Amino acid sequence: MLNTKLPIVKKSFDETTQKLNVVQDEIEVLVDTSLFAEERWEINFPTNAKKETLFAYIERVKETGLIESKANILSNLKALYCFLEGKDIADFKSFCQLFDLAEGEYLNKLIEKIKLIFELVLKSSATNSKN
Amino acid sequence: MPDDNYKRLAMPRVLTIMQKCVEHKIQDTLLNRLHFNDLYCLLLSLDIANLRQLIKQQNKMKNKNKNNIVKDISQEEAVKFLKGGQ
Repeated sequence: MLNTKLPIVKKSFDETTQKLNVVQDEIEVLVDTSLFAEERWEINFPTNAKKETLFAYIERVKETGLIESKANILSNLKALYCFLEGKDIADFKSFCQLFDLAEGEYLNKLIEKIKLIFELVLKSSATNSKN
Repeated sequence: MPDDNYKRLAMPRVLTIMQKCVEHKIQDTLLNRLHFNDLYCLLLSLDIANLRQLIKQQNKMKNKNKNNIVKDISQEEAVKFLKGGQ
């Protein structure tokens, strides 16, 4: 398993100043590329799993350049969720709540991280799903 | 995007792979550590090897029933046989 950090956004409302505090932070996560990642893909996203494996999906989005696409962020987060293990990740809903997809600069940072993790995932294999 | 008419799975893919891991006696530690693609490739190669063995055995049985004697021979023996030797 690979250790990495994921950029997250923490939001809290300050009662005294009546202002919203937005803090960018990082959480420690483990990247699991074993059969159990594929299991999470099938359990949580059966509609996607019927069409292709998790690793075939990663290869496809990499080849078509959909990793960088902001419109494809939710699908990429689904795939990312299947690879990650960490105490801050309970389910897909709470995982999505860690990010602020409305903020442009932060979103670019997140996309870069997703791209890096997907590349690591594909590189850590001796083979790929097509050979 | 793959075709929507993609053949439906009779059984979840993960369960089929786990079943194969049990069949080929793949250890838990290997299952936890091995990349999914590598595990998949390993299972396929083990299956192919088993099928080859099975085909070989079936051919042997077929020849035995026909009273044909089939021998595994080396390259030198093959050349000797073709030249008329024994």
